Amino acid sequence: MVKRKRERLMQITDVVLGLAAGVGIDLSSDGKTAYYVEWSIGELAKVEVATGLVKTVKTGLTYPQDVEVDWATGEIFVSERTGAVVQAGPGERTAKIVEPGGAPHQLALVKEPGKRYLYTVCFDSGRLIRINLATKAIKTITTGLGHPIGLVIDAAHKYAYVTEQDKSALTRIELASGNAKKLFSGLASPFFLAWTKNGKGIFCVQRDPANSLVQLNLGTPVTSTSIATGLAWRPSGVAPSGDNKLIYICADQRLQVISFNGPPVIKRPPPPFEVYSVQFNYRDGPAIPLKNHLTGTSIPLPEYVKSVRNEPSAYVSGALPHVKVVFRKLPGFSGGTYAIGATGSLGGVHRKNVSLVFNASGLSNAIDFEFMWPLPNTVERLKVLLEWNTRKTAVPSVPVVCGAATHKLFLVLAKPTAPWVAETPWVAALELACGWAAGAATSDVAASLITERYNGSGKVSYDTVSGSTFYGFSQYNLTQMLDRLNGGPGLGGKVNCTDSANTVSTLANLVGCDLWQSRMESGFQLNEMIAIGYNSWAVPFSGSFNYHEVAWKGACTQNDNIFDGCLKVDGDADPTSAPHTPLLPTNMLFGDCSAINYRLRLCPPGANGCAQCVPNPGMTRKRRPII
Amino acid sequence: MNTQYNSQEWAAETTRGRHLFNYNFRLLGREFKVWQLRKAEPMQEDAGGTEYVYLWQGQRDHEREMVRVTVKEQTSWRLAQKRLREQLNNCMRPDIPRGTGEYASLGDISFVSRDPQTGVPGAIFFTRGNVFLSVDSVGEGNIDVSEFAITLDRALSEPPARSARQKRPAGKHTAKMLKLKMGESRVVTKLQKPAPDGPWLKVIAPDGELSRRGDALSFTSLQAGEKAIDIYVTNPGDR
Repeated sequence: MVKRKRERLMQITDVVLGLAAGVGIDLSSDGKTAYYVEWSIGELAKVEVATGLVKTVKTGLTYPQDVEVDWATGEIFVSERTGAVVQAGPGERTAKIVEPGGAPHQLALVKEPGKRYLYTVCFDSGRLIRINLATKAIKTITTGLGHPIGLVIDAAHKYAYVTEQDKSALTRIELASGNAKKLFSGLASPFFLAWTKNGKGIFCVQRDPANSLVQLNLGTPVTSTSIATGLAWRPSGVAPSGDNKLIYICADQRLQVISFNGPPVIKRPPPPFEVYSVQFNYRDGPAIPLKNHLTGTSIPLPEYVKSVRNEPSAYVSGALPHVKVVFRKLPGFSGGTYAIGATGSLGGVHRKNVSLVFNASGLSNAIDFEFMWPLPNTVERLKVLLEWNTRKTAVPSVPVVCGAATHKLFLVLAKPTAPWVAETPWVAALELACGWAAGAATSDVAASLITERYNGSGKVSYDTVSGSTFYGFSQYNLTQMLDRLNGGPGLGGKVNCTDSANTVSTLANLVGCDLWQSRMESGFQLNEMIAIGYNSWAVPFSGSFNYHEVAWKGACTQNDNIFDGCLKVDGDADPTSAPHTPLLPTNMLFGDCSAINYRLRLCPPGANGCAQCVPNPGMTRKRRPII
Repeated sequence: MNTQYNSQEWAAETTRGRHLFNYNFRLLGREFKVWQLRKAEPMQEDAGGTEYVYLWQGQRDHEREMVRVTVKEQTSWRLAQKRLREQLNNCMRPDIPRGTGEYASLGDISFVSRDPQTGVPGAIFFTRGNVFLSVDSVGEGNIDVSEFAITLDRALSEPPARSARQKRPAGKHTAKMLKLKMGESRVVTKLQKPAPDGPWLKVIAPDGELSRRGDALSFTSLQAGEKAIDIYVTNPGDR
């Protein structure tokens, strides 16, 4: 990707693709070699920046934040999110130097005669500390910083300059006294820092949504100059060359270079293979089998086959998916071991080293990859990008993209309940339910959202003529209701309470709720209400219902809560008289006739009202099968 | 659940419906001029067959003018009336009134529910012989559905029009003579498996009762004697 900014001939060029949450970077003084860390997979890599050739240096780090190299000795220091500062190299050696805790972030190496100090700021504890590399003694310079992240030390070793996330600011700290002074505020998610070539300015990375680099000029007052916008998503590390003509940025998924006199030309080899298929639902895996209800057939597997199909998958929220991936050999394949991984909108998949074997058709066996992170703990309808990349592991090599696709994932809170036990969950129903309940972390919130979205859909309205059940009372014709709610004719635009209870409970149970359809009976008087599809208060049918049906929790008794997508009741202290306050009953206690809950909001007190409106779970509590 | 719907009273009122039997009755889209059949949707199924919902849309305003026709064939007029009662019990409106005046002769038993604002009959529920029907206005505006109900009732209860019967391959009329003792049952005809493109069979007896057991349509005479059973077979292309 190349972005041009006309006025300064600034260009942004990708050097390395496929980083697994790249963070800190350190560039050699000759500007040829950089080390960077990948947070998600705990790897330290080395790149020849002119060619983009990458070699993994160290694995097994624990959420590395920054890398600092003593280029004179070859020692590499890495800060880890979990609290340690380790030495990774030279060679295979990895050793913990200290464990200050508090999530050390950017590192700054300071050399004084006979001494080497490593400074770092600790994000969680708010400390600026100095580590004596010889004695491993830790000295606290200052405390109370607001989630500090970036750090540079001036050439005179008098001041530290720190970015504080809480204050969106650059703060100067006198190393001798620990006194802190805010120099500049208004930064957008400021991250790591680096000195400009003259030492009078500081480059500061701003993370999303800015995704930019600014230069903070340390005059009086401190001013800010925009260097580059449009950096790859979530940039963290910054490493300028000695002449500042090239500035390397380590972003979440790419290592980029900002150039002003033409970018380096990275020659990417052709991909040795490409992703042929990706399978989410496999035997004993966590995916929920799905069905196309219109064809009556299961969603075909693998769900994704390049240029053939791209079907969705579904999981219980919080699951850690694995995918089975088949690759197709391309002319660039030369055998050996390849590192293969994917970046993407949920962090991609874990990179792994694989020696692929292709059959006569040019296809590999299915290779298992694990998602980088568990799925969100909420109901979601996600579009998940997986951009696959690979490089040879035996020698330094340039990572190349070997496939990309966006996959649709439905997340539900728990395994679907009836009628979705006998029936395989339908894609079209998940599409609607997960969209309506998106963001819900509990079943009550999910059911409430579905009730609200159904009631406010504008696609159906109450049958004021007879209050007939139109979408089925023996079976629920969800197929036609989906058609209606998606803009088709369905079985017409009229509904009643049974249709509404069916819709709310069936869609809620699909996302892991545990609701029933159940009735209150019979022949009871009513307060004024607003029926679905209407916006005025009225009492239907000359004042009474033959019955009413809602989506109901538990045993569907007066002690259980209901969700009523069919009507809004008066939510104020006196539901029997105007003025009224519309209230859609969601997770509302059905109640008795002594306190104002759903029952007394629906019906007036008295023998023909509340007293006649009696839950009848024994005869009516059910979950209708769907057609 | 409403208990005002007295099916024993209905049975006592039912005369013509006992002598009628319709089988494999389908709406094909040509029944109602200026209305377009948008879909025919199978609903639940039981021994009597599959219940169908037909959605009709007005040609001017599809969303505003929409009529839904539910047709459920049963194996007997009693089960059709049971289905009617079931339908009424799944209406939130209590005590839907019987059809009176011009609707008094509609079906064997009919109920008419009117729009509360305009008073037009927006829903009519009735049985004719072994068939339950519900006609509902389901568009944005409630419209008068009585023309639908009357047309359907005629189609089910009257012999096919001569013009239709004389087409080739015309709806075929057979008069089957049966000599029975009082209370005796006799198979009138064997029934083919119902199919959307299969023939519609309408059987009219002079008295007694028609009902289906499995694939056989039987006639039970209430009086001894020779009975002429009219059997009308109408193919989809004839209508």
